Amino acid sequence: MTLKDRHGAFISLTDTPGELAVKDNICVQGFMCTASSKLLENYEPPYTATAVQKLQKQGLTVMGKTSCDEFACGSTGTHTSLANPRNPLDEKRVPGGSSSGSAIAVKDGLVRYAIGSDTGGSVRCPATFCQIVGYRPSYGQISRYGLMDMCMSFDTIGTLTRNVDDAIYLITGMSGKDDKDLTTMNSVDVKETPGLAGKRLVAFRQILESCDPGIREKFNEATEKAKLHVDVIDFPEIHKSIPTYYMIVFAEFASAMQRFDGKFFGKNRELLGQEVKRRILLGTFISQKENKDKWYTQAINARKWFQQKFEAMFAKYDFVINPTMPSPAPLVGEITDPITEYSMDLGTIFPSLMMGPSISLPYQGMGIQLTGKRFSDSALLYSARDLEGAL
Amino acid sequence: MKVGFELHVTPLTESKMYCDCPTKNAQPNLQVCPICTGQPGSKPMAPNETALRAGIKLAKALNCTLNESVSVMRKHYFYPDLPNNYQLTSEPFGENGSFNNVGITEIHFEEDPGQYDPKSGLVDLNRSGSPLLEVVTEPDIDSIEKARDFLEEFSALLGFLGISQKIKADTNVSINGGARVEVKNIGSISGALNAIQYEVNRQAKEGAVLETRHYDKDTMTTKPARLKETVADYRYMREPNLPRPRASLQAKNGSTTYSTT
Ligand SMILES: [Zn+2]
Repeated sequence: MTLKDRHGAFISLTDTPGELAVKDNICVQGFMCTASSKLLENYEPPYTATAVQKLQKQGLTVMGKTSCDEFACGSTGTHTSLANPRNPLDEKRVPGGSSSGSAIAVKDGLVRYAIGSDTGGSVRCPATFCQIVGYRPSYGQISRYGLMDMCMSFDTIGTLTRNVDDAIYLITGMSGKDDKDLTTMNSVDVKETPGLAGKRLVAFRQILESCDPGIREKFNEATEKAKLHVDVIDFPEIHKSIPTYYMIVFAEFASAMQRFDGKFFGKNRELLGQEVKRRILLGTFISQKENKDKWYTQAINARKWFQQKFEAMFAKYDFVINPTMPSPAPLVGEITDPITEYSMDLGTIFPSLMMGPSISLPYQGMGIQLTGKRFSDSALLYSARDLEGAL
Repeated sequence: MKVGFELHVTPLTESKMYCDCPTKNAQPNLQVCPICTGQPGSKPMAPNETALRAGIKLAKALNCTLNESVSVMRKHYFYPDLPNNYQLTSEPFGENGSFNNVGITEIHFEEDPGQYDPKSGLVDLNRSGSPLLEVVTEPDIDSIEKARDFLEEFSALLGFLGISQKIKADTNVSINGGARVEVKNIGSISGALNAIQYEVNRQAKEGAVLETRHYDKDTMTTKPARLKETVADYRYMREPNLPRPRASLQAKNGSTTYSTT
């Protein structure tokens, strides 16, 4: 560890200078890959993730692997015993998670570029709390080969950067079809597009109402400042997006964690943190034969419902806009129950359900999030660049 | 007696089911990669086309009804030779067939686990991820002669279709309406016949309980399985790393394609 890493950004670091930090649930040969878990402290992957390989080919050097919530489970960024991630803007506060270290490394200027994983907000949440740009691509835009499974149908590799241009640079480099991730698609190249002019924006009243008054005020101020016309519509069912998302996360996570039994991978499972254990147990329960229909299948059907709803919405609108997080970064230790932590994700979960790209821009201590339909990444990135200029 | 089979056919392929590793013999743990050793972060590649073609051909020859589209499922269980602790196994792509007057329940494709040696405790993952076609029959066989006929005809069919010479015949045996005993670890047709005969005699003498037993070719007997091999619930789940809405196996005009839409 170097002295510069004051806020617990890194789990492993090289001596050679580099410009790229990689979340420690993404495999890079030559580095341990711990997923910020004691269980995997000694896991040395024999391969490098496709997305990282592509950036290396572009000339970027990986400087280190960053801390995160253990196995990417959390929204505070502090659920790990391998590092002590803190918010660079206020050390009493959490950096946001799960890609906490990647956000800290960029905010503190230790690297120019960082990548993380975003399953339900894990790059956009720390980007907001650390006041940088966080980008979640469309599902299928960037190969996940080498990203440890968390919830396979929502996992994406996203970026944490100081500005939208840097995000465009990384996303352009990582995009494209990969035979080793069959969910990736052809012809998803990022191209320069016209941007924000003429784009139709919508916001959901129920998400705005769930935010702190101060956040809502800043949000209105930002849309006025950028001269955005936003239709505010009712979407009461959006509250159901949280249980829908978490049911699927638990079930898939329990399956993904099945291999860490100490036989080939991992050590004694007693080493796992409480949140990880909770998710494995809940996921095992809801995917059992006698419970599956009541929980998992219902959640899958609800996801389908959301996807159809959003498809209809995106026929009328280009982007959904909302505050990324409902409140400022919580104090370390302030959040003690999982339900409160899960409910912080109301603004970031719906893009995962409908597989679209989503970007969070920093604005006066909060985050402005724009979300588009699946594979509208180019339009979203260049529109976000315009919005960044207007804020 | 009532006898049915679970026939595991290893189709002749150059490479494994979900990765590019070769299937030919080698020193232990040399024909491996991140995918077939279950490294965290690895995902399955598209199912081996040759294996899928062989499966469709076999399903047709067994007079099965073909399903146009099947999902690949994760079947969860813990066993020393299974790095992920789940096995990828497809839904049946052929059902309700018949061959040699024996009902064919279904045929699906799956991946072989590695090889675990209980004596040394060592695991060889060269075989891990190799393609398998599993044919499940109804318990329609009521004599050793019929069992022999069926297995010989089935094996001749595989030769004729050019699919494989390598089959393993797990068998289930019950007598007088008693409990069904599964016998695994059978490597040859004569082994299967010996195992059936031994089980018929043993069950007549000892009675039968629902269990899995292993065949020992040296003593030509069966023994209760050392490790628990059946679990109450495999928590089947569609493999999300294979494309949505489903990994489909399409059989149109005799050609097989792996479709991602
Ligand atoms: Zn392999």
